[in-house]
Amino acid sequence: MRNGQMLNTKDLFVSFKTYAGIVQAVRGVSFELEKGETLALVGESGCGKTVTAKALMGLLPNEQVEIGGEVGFHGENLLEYGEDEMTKIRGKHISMIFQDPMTALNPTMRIGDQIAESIIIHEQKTHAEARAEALEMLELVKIANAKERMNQYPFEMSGGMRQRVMIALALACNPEILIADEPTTALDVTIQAEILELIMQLQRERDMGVILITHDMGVVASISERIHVMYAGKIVEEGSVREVFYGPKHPYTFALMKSVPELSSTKQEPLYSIVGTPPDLINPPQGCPFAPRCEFAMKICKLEPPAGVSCGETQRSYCWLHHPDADITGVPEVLQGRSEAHAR
Amino acid sequence: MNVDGTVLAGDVFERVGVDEVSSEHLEKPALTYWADVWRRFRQNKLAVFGLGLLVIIIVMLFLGPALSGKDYQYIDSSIRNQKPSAEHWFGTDDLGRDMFTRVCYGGRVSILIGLLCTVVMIVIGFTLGALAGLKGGWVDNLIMRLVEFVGNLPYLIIVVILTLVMGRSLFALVFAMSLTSWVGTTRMVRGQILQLKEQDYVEAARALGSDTWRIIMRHLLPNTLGIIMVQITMSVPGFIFGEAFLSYVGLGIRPPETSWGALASYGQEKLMFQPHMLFFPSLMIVLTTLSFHLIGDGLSDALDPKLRR
Repeated sequence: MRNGQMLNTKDLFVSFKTYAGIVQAVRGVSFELEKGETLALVGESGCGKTVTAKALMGLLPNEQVEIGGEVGFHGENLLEYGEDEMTKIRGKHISMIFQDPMTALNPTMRIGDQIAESIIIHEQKTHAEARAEALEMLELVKIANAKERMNQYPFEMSGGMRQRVMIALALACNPEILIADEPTTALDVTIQAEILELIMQLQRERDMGVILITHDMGVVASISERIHVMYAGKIVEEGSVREVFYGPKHPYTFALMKSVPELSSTKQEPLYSIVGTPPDLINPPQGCPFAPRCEFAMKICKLEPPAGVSCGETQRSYCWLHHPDADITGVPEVLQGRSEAHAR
Repeated sequence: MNVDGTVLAGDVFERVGVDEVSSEHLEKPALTYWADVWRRFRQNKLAVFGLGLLVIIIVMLFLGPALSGKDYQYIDSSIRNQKPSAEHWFGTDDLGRDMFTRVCYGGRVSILIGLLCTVVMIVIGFTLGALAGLKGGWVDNLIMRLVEFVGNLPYLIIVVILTLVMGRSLFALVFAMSLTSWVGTTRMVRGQILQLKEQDYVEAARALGSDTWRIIMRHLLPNTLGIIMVQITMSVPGFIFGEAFLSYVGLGIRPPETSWGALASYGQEKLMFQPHMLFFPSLMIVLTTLSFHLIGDGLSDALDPKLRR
């Protein structure tokens, strides 16, 4: 499985200076991405998923933003790269698919030219060569009548087709890493499945690393291997999808899983939801960010951030419940029994 | 026998299955951007009228002197101050020069000045506006302070000083008029760019490795083209007026060269006795201005990418 690390993010910090104060959007996020692997960043709106992705690609504005930590890519720290160097990385080595295909395509450019654009930029090809490659890309993402579609404008296409075009656009230069920022949120359910299938297939064919950003547990389950659950700018739990889905170790992940409706359920009861709202990131809580909303919160949770505890083959959870002294009365069984893991 | 009398021959119910070609058939052919703009422009009757009028005027300016067979500088004291006639369509001036030919030559100068000034204005205005909007920060601050500074200089005094320093030439006139004119364009383009740069496709272009210059040229320029085209069509008549005014107060084109403004200025002195000397140059200014405005109005609708359907 471990066949070469490609991207290595260490202790990433991003803060924005606003009128209200400094928003600490990402607070010490670390993860590694391997070749051919799909990593999911999951969390609710505003937890820092997209900011993390933009920081990786150097897409955050230079002013009013402070970025710390390290983004290792082929032994170099991307955060030290200047705008010109990043321009060469973007699209060629790391590429991105955006959430809303309705607005992410230029309305005044033919889609063929839009795809050819990045080929011309990165591979120094002539317009005709680039267009020929663009046509191949369109066929690759299974757009019917690709030849005619090349000369169409985005407004002549449906949402699903535009997302296919976005994928063709992102993959035109054969990047090593693809960041998909909620690629299916704006699409309807039947199209979602097709797009995810397409991303998966292209990933297998090209052995790309994919970072999938989403809040949709179903999407995560169907296409990723590893999952990082983010909350208030921090990773609260990470591990393989199997581990995290079948044995969530952090109360937040546990609550997330519980709030997914089950099709097979026949119980007549309201859907579970987590009380409260995420903390204000201008003054993030001292301890565990989830503590104020956590049913099992202890005093320590509000005082100090918990350290990561390994509780499975690849699983790690950041929670005080794993401490041997923790009060685990009434705590669901899945979350329990981590005390030995803590000792390990 | 069918209801409407047609005979159903034996094999019409034979199964043919999915037709690969027609099931993926595209309804309408892809129109190019400009073909689509032209299609919508044509629907606007007044705009088409304006375009026709402008074409006629321009054809007249270039073929007119050949048609009349006169020289615009030729002085013939025997035919001074003639009213319009079959021989002299717009009459003659007080030196016996053919007014029609003079109006044609003057019009070339006027329209040339209008176009040159507009080009300079758009190039400077767009570049600075796009930089200010896209780069933000100190670049934006610097450019906008420059805009405020230049925008607050009294236009007329600048022009007077410049024509004094540089002499009364066509170049000096264009330079003087362009010097302060780009301010409005810069402001407008900057505003537009500030709005456009937050669009996802600009960020997507950045995410795919486009540099600033490419983003400006490929993504921002085409999307601001609507307002720029409208500015162009609206400012050409503005500059024609400006030139007319400067020539009128004696700061413009120097005789024997002429322009509509210079002709009108000259004709104004003879208004009481030879009204045709003022009437024809003024008429041309009015018609040209009108046609540009009508075209601009039509273009602003036709070029709006948001209205494309």
